[in-house]
Amino acid sequence: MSINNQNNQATSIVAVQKKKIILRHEYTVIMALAIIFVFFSILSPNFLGPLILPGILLIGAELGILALGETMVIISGEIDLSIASVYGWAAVLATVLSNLGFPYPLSLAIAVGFGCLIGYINGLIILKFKIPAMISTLGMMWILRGNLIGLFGGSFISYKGGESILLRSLGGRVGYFPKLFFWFVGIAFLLNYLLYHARLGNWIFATGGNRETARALGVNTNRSKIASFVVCSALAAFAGGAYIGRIDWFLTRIGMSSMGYGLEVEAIAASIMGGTAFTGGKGSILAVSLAAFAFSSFKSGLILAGATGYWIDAAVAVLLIVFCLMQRIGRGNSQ
Amino acid sequence: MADQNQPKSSPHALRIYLRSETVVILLLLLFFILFSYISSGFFSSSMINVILIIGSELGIIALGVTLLIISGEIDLSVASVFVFSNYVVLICSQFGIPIVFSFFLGIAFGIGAGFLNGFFALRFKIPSFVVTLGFMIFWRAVLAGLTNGEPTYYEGARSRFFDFIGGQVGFIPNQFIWFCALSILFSLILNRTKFGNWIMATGGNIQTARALGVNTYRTKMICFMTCSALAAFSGASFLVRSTYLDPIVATGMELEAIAAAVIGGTILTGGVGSIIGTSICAFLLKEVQVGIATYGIRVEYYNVLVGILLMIATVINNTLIRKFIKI
Repeated sequence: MSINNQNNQATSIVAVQKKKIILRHEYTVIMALAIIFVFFSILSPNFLGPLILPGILLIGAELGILALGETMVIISGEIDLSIASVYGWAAVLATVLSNLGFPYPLSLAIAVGFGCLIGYINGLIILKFKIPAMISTLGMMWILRGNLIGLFGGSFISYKGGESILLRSLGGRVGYFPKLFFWFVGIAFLLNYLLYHARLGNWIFATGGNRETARALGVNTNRSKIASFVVCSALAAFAGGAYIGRIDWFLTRIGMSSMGYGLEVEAIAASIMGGTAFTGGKGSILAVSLAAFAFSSFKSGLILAGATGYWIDAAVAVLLIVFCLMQRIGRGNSQ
Repeated sequence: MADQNQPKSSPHALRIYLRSETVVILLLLLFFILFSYISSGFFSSSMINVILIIGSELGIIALGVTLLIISGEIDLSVASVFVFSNYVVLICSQFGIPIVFSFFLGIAFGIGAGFLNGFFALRFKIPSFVVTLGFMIFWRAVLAGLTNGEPTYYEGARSRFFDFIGGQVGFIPNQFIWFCALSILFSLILNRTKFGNWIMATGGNIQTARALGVNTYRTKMICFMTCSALAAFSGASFLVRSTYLDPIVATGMELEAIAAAVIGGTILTGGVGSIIGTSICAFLLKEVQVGIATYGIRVEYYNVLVGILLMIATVINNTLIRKFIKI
């Protein structure tokens, strides 16, 4: 009985803290988004036009799906560097399986299942053998990427499978909004429910916040960490498998083994920009979602301003470090 | 205070060192015999020469990474610093600075990059792998942006300095001699000097080290700077050897360097490690790479193998640590 009381008390304290942080970071991110939009609209008038804005929403939705998964893992107190490789694997797997004659929904399901498996293995390696997450997922990143390029070569694999409703529901757009954006919103709501209204979410916050306390309160910390890894890799696999659907924008559907290279850094940066504490235990789905769109509009703005892909990568890296600094300095003030 | 700390940890630690080093030497011999047997092109003086050269380049990077891991931090940006220092040396020599000074400017760049890593990681207490992940992308992307992603060739004259860095003494490449000298130097620093003791203490238990009067901030900072400086040295000597710059060279080398350190017996949580083990393991990895290539397996699988070896070695190290040192 008393344990139950304590549990409730701890939960309510956590809830109050959560609300405060959510408010602060959402405002910060919305302001960043507004500044980016105003700045780049002045710089290039096409920025809010019908050509660019859907692109921003599309790239933002894809990055957002990855960043939300990464956020779950970071909240639980770990990190996952292998998502970009999972993304590439899922894209190639979905293409190749469909070409072999599987219907697309089944190939996508197999790709997502593959993602779940990788996430489970990641979690198992980290918790069973006590290898730091950073090292084992770095190893996993290279194991997956090496196998992928080794097996499928470096060339394009064009999609030869059949049409399906699912495939059409991923590509194209409704008005200004790409259809993938609605998928993203659905996923964000689902994760929001999972993190704030389901028991698992509370467990994940508790595990990342203070693992010993969480364990003392009866939380199965191992299971919550593994669950967050599985969700993270499954989302990365979904984004990868959806790639051939969303790409019909450009009329050719392809998969390629070098796809998603470096995407993990963007996902981590978007997650930290959205206020997820890299020490674990704090984070907001809404803020990270907004941050993903701030990120994609920043990138698109740079492209419009004439920067090449390399300089955009450099800017992403600078942003990652700047967001970390802001988080550190912000926390120093609040204490 | 350093003397009080040393005798407590050394007998246990010594056993682990011996163990991992023996295992690595045995593996080195085993793979050497295996590859000589299964692939016909492997056992030749030119291949062994290649292994010695690329093994030394990896080894020099791995020495710094080992120091840094022992001090309890990590650096993922070494491969990018390696390739960016290529660029610094190249661009300086194109501006007419003599190659010797360009070489030192390349190393100076490395020291600066290490300072940035350490400054952000230590001053602002951001986890070092996040900071160095950022710099890994940053240096590589800036380099690709500056060169448009295309290879550039060094077109200056080849002075005597080139032979000094990248030449040969009979059968042995000069880089190998450089590497041996550095390896012995850092082994002595780590095991015989007060500073080495500080590094071990900082990585082993930072609170205790601080309580005993070790300046942990400065110790870690020097490790960050040494690590990047060694990577830049290796990169500069790579440019002098190959006389061309390719922005995608050394991709994934940070994984190799960490793997060399961990397979050589360095514990990822810090405090325990062996320079000798790392040094031998660098050659082990490069021997496997050359062996795989001459056998005809796609090079991409080498990265897969390094990843798997890294995980296995971490598990073995963790088990050994738990057995010998009760935490």
